[in-house]
Amino acid sequence: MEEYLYALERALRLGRERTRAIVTEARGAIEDAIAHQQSQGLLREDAERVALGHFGRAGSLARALRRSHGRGPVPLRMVAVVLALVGLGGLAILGSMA
Amino acid sequence: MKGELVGPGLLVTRALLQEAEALDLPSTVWARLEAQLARPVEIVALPLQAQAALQDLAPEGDPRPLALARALLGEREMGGFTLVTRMDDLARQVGGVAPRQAILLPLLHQLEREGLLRARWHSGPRGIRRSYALWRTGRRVPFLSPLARWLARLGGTRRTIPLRRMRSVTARGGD
Repeated sequence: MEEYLYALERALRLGRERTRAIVTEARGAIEDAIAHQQSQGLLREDAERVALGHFGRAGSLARALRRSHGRGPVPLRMVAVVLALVGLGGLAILGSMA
Repeated sequence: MKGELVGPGLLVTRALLQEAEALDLPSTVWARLEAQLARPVEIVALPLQAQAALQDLAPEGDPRPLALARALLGEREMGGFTLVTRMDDLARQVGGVAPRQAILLPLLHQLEREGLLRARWHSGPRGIRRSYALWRTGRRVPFLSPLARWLARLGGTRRTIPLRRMRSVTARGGD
């Protein structure tokens, strides 16, 4: 669990306070899920594995949470527009120098 | 009353009822839904992104998890794990679709950010936890922008009633 939470914390990149809050929330939810699995008869190690499986990979969860907080990855379309504008600007400068 | 959280019991919208009618729900679930219909009907307009996220809970257009999630979000204040467990229990009754925390945790954060949910920290027997509750309809829910409404219509989400109209509807006590 600690490795999972560490990976989540590193991948979130939402600022120290918000990241810490999310990791604390995730820790609580994972602990509840582990306790639930243990109440179903699983040993701690197995319960932890099953519980973490419900949260998916730390990187995927972090990406989904970043999207929820409006911090998704930069859309490729936006990158393409910026590159096109830079290219056009460069061409314009070259044209004026010629 | 303004500022109150939605009280105990499922929050059943007319839109949810329309969805539920097509679901062939077991009598036990129907009994719970029908019990709620005696209460004043509240209409919740979920933000567009939240609708999309809730739709992700359903495989191949299955509306049942969506209906259950929308109902549970208004039931009472609860933590993410409790919400997952309740959704799992109810989903098993109607088709065995169980949402995962990987979907639900980001969804809760998104709904909170959109102003639909209120979250608070509290200490429980196993440590500090975060719980969520649905704001009463019409509070803290931002108006859908004209663009969002247009996109909602384009996406076929005609059952969503814009909040501006919703307030007038709830003020009249019906449609």
